[in-house]
Parts: sequence; structure tokens; C-alpha cells
Amino acid sequence: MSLFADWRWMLAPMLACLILSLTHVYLGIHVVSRKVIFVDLALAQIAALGAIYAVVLGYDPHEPGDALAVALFSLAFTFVGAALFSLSRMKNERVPQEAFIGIVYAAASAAAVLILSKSPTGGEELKEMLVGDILLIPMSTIVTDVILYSAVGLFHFLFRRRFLAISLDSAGAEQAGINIRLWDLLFYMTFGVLVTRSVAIAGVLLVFSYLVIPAVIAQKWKDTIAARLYLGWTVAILGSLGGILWSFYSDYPTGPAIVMMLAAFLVVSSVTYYLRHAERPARAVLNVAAMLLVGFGFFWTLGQFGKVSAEPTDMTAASPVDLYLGELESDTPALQAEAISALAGLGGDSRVVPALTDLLDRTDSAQVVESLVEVLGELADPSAVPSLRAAASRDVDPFLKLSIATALADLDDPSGYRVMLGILDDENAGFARVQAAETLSSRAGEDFGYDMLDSSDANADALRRMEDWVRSQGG
Amino acid sequence: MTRAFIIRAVLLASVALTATTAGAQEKIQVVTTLPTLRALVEEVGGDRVDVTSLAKGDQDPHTVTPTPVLMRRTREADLLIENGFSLELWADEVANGSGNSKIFRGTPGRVVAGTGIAALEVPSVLSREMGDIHPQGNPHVWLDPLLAKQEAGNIVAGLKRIDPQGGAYYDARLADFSQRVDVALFGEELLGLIGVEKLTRLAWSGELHEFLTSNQLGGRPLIERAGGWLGRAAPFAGAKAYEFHKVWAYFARVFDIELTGTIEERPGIPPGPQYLRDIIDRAGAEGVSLILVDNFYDPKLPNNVARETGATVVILPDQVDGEPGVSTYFQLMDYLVDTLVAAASEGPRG
Repeated sequence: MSLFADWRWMLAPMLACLILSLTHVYLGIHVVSRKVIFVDLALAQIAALGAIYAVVLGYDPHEPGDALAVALFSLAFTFVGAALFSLSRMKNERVPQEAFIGIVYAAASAAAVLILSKSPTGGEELKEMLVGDILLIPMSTIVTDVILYSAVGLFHFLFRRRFLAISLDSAGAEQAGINIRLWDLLFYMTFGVLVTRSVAIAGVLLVFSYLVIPAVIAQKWKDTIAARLYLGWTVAILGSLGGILWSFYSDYPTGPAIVMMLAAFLVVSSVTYYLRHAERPARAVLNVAAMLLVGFGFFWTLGQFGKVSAEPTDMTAASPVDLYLGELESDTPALQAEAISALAGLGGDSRVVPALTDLLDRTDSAQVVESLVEVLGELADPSAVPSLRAAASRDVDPFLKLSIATALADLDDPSGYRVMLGILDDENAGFARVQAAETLSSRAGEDFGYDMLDSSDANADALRRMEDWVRSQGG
Repeated sequence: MTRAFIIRAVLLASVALTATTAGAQEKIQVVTTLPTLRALVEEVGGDRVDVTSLAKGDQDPHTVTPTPVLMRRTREADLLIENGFSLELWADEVANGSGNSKIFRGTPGRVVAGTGIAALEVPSVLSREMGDIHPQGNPHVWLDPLLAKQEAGNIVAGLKRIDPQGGAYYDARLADFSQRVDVALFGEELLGLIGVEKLTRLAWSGELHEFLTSNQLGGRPLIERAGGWLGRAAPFAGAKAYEFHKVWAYFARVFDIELTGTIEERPGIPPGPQYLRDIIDRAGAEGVSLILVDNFYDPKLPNNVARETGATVVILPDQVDGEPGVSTYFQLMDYLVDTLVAAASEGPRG
């Protein structure tokens, strides 16, 4: 049960990986044979440019009603890109098509930056929006994607002979009377639709790896298309599963984990291939061992040059009281306030109260005064009275005055009550008067009947009785 | 006599002419890193300053690439104002790249608006000793209106260094701005009852809402006397929220939102599966109802969390100019409060 509950999160990513494996290994065999490895990146970038253009024309990709329009712009741009790539194939190429693909990629990326730099708002996140994360794929997306990918797959299955003929032997295909430009256009159009969708759900890195790594391994080991397909599918599916497992148990991001797993498959397969096909097997084993040793030595040696961090200061040497007393001297109110509340629990130390009163005498931060007087009231050390009296006589707001007065009262100094009476006399003290009256009432243990909202006539009597009580306390 | 008159007239005219041209040239050239700081400069600088922001409102302030026009403004600037707390790490690069020695770090032409502000999320004493990577804390101080006043005060101090004749003018505008912020935040009635000093202390110690709900006057809790943004914020007061990136601590402190988690594990790195599951489980257990996402981040991950938990994703600008129609500080706060009220009243989704 718990295992299933754990894995429920990975079900959608696993299904997505399965779909990507099945479709992209097949397309990858085409792409590797045609030597147009980076065409997927270029087409995805062109599709992104289309979406950005839609945003400039006023569509909002966040609005559900606009999403279709943005997708159609993207699709239109993809088709233009497909046309470009089918036209750029030359019979006797002096310049490799790969160069042209790279140029298209760079130009499309630069155009996107330029357009976004002038867009007044809402473009910034678009660049990321078009690149997905396989971990976040919702189940509903998988259903629609299965339909889309199956449709493209069926199309390729029906016309597989023509597509394969062009990819594997374009000269022969032309002699056989196949319209190369037309079928190239169809290839890049379907490929573009699929890859753009894949990048949106899985990210650029993962799509590229699914296209290229299994196809490269298969190409090396197998000669027929069918055999390559089966081996490629096996590699892709095992790599996905391994990557997902690794990501799940080590909590690494899923996409990059799968890419690294596929890359590891490639390394292992290449080494095996080398060992199997070497003319002198013993020598080959030695070479591999030497490579491993060099690789290990390289990282181990570099590891010795790690930055040596300074020894952490010995925290046991300084007691917490020392640390917090130091913070009081820092002149930063926030640090002081933090230290004050921490010192409240450490009042047993004889240095605490003098340090707090000292700060009360010199600080001009109301926030610091407020926390100081609260703690001094709690610690109830009479030696704080002179500093508190001095603080109460300064020109501070009525609430702060009340806090100081309360602390004085806590230290059994009746001058605190006198300060409270002063607040009650202050027309501008607002709600502080209510709190002063409440404090006096609770200390005296009798309700004086003061009501701030009442007219002053009714309160005059209450004030007189408070005055009498304060006098009886010696204030 | 006529001749003397003509000479005097010409003299007067020329004086007037130089005065006006001088007046036009004398405008203090200010460049700010962020558009919110630009808005604050406009509030306190009035027509004595000319101000431009290097970053745009919907940009991630961590990474900004200025254009040639902005670099020209920087070369001619008398004052460069940055927020500080290591938010705009590119500010020094821009200042040094401009070659304008008036605005280099440490010169009178350089203002760090966050100076003296007590940052939140600063590592505690002990972990600071251990060498934390963000010793200066959360930089998004302007999202607390009370701290925005403090930033405006630092800006005025900088303006007075460069333009001492304008001192009284800037002081008057600062006092006026502060007064308008206080009223817009608390409303006249609450301000009169409790006073801005006490309200500020309560807000900064995180006790404002507790104080206003537990104290009564005339049989009604004080919170009912709150006007302005605080009064309007009632529908989302006390709500629990996730944030995408650590941005909203200051805003949450004033408006009583409890931030219980951050969706982004590390900036720019996709989350691992265990982490994602953990935040989704925790959101359900804690009853998180809102997910605050700055409008320049990709909403895919928060949407995913929202779908699993029923919380509402709220896309918010964190800067002036972050959305169309948000070009002053007051419009920014209005927008934030209104958007959150709308999201909170939408209620949790199934």
C-alpha cells in the first residue's frame, strides 16, 4: 500500500517516458541517419518564437480561450521551419546542413530575446513556459498526447518505405522517383509537431537525449532498421525506468536523472562494443583499465584541491549570554531586539539587567524600548527603576509610555501609576487611554468605570477615584 | 532713460532665460535599479528630479541586462539608487561599466534604499557564525508599506546630499507621502485611535492582527475600525499560504498571512519527486489555501501543487510596473490587496 502510495506520483511521468521512448527512438534513427541531430532544438525554438509572436499580437497564453490561438501560431511557425529545412537540403552539399540548422537555432533564439525585450509585459515567463518538466505532467495531458503521437506514428508507419528510403539513401530514393522535397517537408512537419509537443512536456534536454542516445547505440550494434528499433526501444525504456528509480529514491530532478542514465548506457555500451570487437582483447581490457584509472586519478587529484574552509568557531567557548550581550552592542535594532528576548530567559546572570538598563539609557528605537521594558518588568530587578523613570519622562508615544509605566508598576514603583494617569489626561492618547484605565483597574482590583467613548463629565468621577487610589499607593 | 530701460529689460530677460534653462538642466538625474524605487523617487522628488529604472516591473530583479539607452542614462546620472540586501547583484557591474564615478559604491551619489531596515529571514546568531550564504536576509522590504516609507526616507537623504537647496522641498514631500501611506494602510480612524508609532511596532513584531482582534472599543473589536488596505484585507487575514520564491514575508507580516512553505526548492532547479510530494502532503495537512507566485515565474509547478491540493494560485506583481495600470506605489498595493481578496473569496476548489 505504502509503496503504491509512493509510486502514485511517478505513474504519469513513467507513462510519458514510455510514449516518448516509442516515438523518439524511431524518429531518432531518421535524424541520426540524416545527420541533422540538432534539428529538434531548432524546430522547438522556432515554435517558441511563434508563441512569443502570438503574445506580441495580444494573445495571453494563460487565458484558456487564447491557448488554441497561441498553439496555432506556434504550429504555423513550425511548418515554416519545416519548409526551410526541406529546402536547405542540397544534393552535393558544400556546406553541411547541420550548419544551417545551427544558424536557424541561433537566429530564432535571438529574435525571441529581441521581441521580448520590447514587449511591455507578460513575456518574461514565456521562455520557460514552453519548456516542461516531466515530473509535473498531468494524467489528462498524457491521454491527449497518446492520440497525437499515435496519429503521427500511424502516418509514418503507412509511408515508412518512402521516409526510410530518403533518410538512408537519398540518391537512391531520387532515382526511384520519390519527390524528395515533398517527403522531406512532410517529415519535418510531422517531426516538428511532435518535438514541439515533447519539449513542452519533457524539456529540451530529455527530448534531445531520447532522440539521439538510443539511436546512436542501436546504429552501432545493429544493421537492419527493425533490429535497431528493438534495441533502441529497449535502451530507452530501461534508461527511463532506471532514471526514474534513481530520481525517486535520491530525490534528484527527474528529467536530468534520465538523461544521465541514458548517457551511462551509452558509455557502457561503447566500452562493451570496443572490448567485443577489439583485435587483441587483452590489450583492449588493459586500455579500458588504464582509462578508468586516468579518469579516477583526474577527479581524485582535483578533489584534493578543494577550498579549505576556515575552522568553524568553537561555539562552546562563548556562552549564549556572552553572545547576546555582544548583540546588544551591535547598534542594529533588529539584532538588539532579538538578543533582548533571548536574554529574558537568562536573567540569572548578574550582567543581564545592567546591560539592559544601559541600552535603555542610550537607544532611540521605540521597538527596542518596547521589548526592553517588557523584559525588565518580567525580571523584576529594582535596580532598573531609575532608567525606567528616565525613559518614562522622555517624549514618546502614549502606548510606549504605558509599556514603561507597566514595567515600573511591575517593579512596585508607584511612579508608574502616575504616568498612567498622565496618559488618561492626554486628549490625543486615543486607545492608549482605554488600556491605561484597564491596567489601573486590574492593579487596584476595582472597576473605576472609565469609558473613553463617554463624555468627560461621567469620567471625571472615575478619574478622581483613580487619582485617590494612586495616591494611596504612594504615587 | 529709454536706453537704461532697454538695458534693464534685456538684462532681466537674459536672467529669466538663464534661470529657466538652468532650471531645466538642474533637474537631478536619478537612476534606480527597480521600478518600485523609481515610483518612490517620483513621490519624494517631485519635479526636481528626472528618474529612470533599469529593470522593468515584470522582470526577475536578480537578472537584468540593461540596454544602450539605459546605460546612457546611467553615465549621466547624479544618483544611483538600489534596494540592497544583495538583490541587485548587477548594480555594481552597471555602475562600474558606466564609468560614472559619481555613482560608484561608497560615493555620495549611491543610495542603498534598504539601509537600516531590519531584514526578515536573516539567519540566526548561531547559523550566521557558521557562515550562511544569505547573511543579509530577504530583500523584498518594499512590500511592507511601513518599510517603503523608510526606503523613501533613505532616498530623501541621498537627494539632499546631491541637491541641498531642495532639502525643505524633499522633506515636505516625504512627510506628505508618509502621511498618505499611513492613511492608505490603516485608515483615519485607526490612526487616530492608536497612532502610527504603536501600529508600526505591532506590525513589525507580527502582533498587529492579534492586538486589533483581541482589544475592543465600544463593544467592537478594533479591527472593525481599520480602513484602507488593512481593512480591505479582512477576507484573507489569517490565511495560510505557500509562496513560490521567498518574497512575501514583509507583506505577510503586515496583512497577517501565515507563510508555511516555499514551493521552489532551489532557484532555477526543478524539484525532486520526494520534495514535490512532501510540499503537496503538507499543504493538505496544514490547510494551505493560497499559493503566491510572482508574475515572472513559470506557474507550471505551483499550478501542479494547486491541482493536487485545491489551493488557489495567485499570480502577483512584486514591483511597480509589474502589471498594466500599476505605475505608482499606491496602485501596486491596491492591486495586491484586491487580487488577494478576489482569490480568497473564490474559496478553495475541489
